[in-house]
Amino acid sequence: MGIANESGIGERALIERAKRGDEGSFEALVMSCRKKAWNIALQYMRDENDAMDALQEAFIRIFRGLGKFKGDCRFDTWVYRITVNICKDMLKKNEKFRLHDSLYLEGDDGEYLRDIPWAGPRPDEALERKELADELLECMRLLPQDHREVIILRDIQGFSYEEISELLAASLGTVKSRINRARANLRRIWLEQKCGGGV
Amino acid sequence: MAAMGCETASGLLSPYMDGALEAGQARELEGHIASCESCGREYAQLSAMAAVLGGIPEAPLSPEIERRLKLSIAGEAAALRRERRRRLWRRAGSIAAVFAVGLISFLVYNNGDMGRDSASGPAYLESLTSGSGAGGGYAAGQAGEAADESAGVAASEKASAADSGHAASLPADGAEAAAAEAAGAGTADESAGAADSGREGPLPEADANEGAGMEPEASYALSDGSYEADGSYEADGYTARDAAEAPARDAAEALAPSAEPAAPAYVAPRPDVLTRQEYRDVTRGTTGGAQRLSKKDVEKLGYDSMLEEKLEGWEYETLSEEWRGDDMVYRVRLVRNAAGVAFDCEVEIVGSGGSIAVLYATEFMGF
Repeated sequence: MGIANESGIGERALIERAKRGDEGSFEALVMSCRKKAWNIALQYMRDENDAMDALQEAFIRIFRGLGKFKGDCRFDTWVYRITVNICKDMLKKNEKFRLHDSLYLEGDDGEYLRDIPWAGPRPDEALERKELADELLECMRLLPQDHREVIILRDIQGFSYEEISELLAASLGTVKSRINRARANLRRIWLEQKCGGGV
Repeated sequence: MAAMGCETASGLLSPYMDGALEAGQARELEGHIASCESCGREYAQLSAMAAVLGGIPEAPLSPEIERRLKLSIAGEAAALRRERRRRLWRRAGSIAAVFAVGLISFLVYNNGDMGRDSASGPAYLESLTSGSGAGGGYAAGQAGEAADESAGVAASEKASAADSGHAASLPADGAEAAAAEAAGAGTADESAGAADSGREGPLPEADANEGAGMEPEASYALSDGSYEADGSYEADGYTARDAAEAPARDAAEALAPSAEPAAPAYVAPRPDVLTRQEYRDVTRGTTGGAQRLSKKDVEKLGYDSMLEEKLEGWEYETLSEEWRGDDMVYRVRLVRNAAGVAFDCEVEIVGSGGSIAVLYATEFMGF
């Protein structure tokens, strides 16, 4: 399965056209993956403006680097890989630990996660999940960067182990063990925050 | 089979949740979870965490974000087009410069050089011999003199070359070298190379061996000689007019009509031996315009272009560029490749012999 635009032109053809500077072809190429790329950037950067900067930079890098795309991985995987790398670079450069980020909004009772519609059979169930998500996202800030990113990629974005291995240029074994440790770490932090340390 | 311990089970919970365990191992773990309260509780908490995180809805891409993305891509596409045009012009400029230098050198060298073509040389010499009625020595002397002419030999040496004995000795060097030179001066590059080498090579010979067996290198870009009927070179008061009138002066100058000073506007003000600096000034002047390119300038343009092509897509910084002998050496800091992988390391890129090579690169860089 590849990317095809409305006139049925395959991914290969779109890539060739985009390499020659055809913006329309490039847009068609990235159409299917830009939302996910945006969400990856958002989760990494925890700030809408920073995420926008990262995404812009990533897309420019992708556009310029089309000539180097060898087709040895899926195109969208390549897009996400560049997005992840850009985010990591920006985080490293900024080195800021945000206490407040734009994913959270000020409310009467304090901060709460930006009002993104939650799916759920019942409103109270949705609210409960949302509150729990808020807690977990808060706890994730305390994770080391490499643990945080595997949680983002695996649990939030739903990438497979193999896809994560490609995105991070890490071996499958490394990815498995890192996810295992990251989840265990997140659980520990969450329980400490929630229960004051009792597991 | 020993029962699975809690430590082992704890390490398998995560891959079990993701369906990454083998069937046998998964069954064993399930058995342990069912029987161990602590591991069971841990599994439940991990599963709940993953489920909640997985349920976070995707943030939509707002129209504003879409618009900004489109604008940045459009801007980048325009910048890329400009870059490509600039590279194209730079390459065209360097090629044109090399070609211009070579062409002019070639034309000047071949000006008055009818006898030098290896195919027609012997026939031409034959015709000179029969036409003039002079002996073979005279015709050979003419060929030698013609060779010397395009080499811009000093007047005094020409005067001595009029001596039949000396003239006879010249062709052995002159005609041979002329034929070899004609054969080698086919391409603009070769001509440019000869022109270039003329700055370094034959000129010293000219300096050292004035008038004696001058090799008629294509590098000498001037001086139509004025030949007397006896083959001697008229040095005194040589002017452009003399050059124009040369064909009428000597029957042996059948070479002259087609050796009209077609290309170079330059006319030798005096038949002195050119110093190297004068030669450079002359050739630079004949390239025209404000572009005064030395051989190394032209080569550097070429290497600059090759470097840009080599590093296309990379984010890099050129730290230094210098000539080391005949090699153009660039120190470059590679920041990031096209795929966004950061390297942040230095390499040396060496331009030599018409190609470039990247030194100190790792295999991951893809060079």
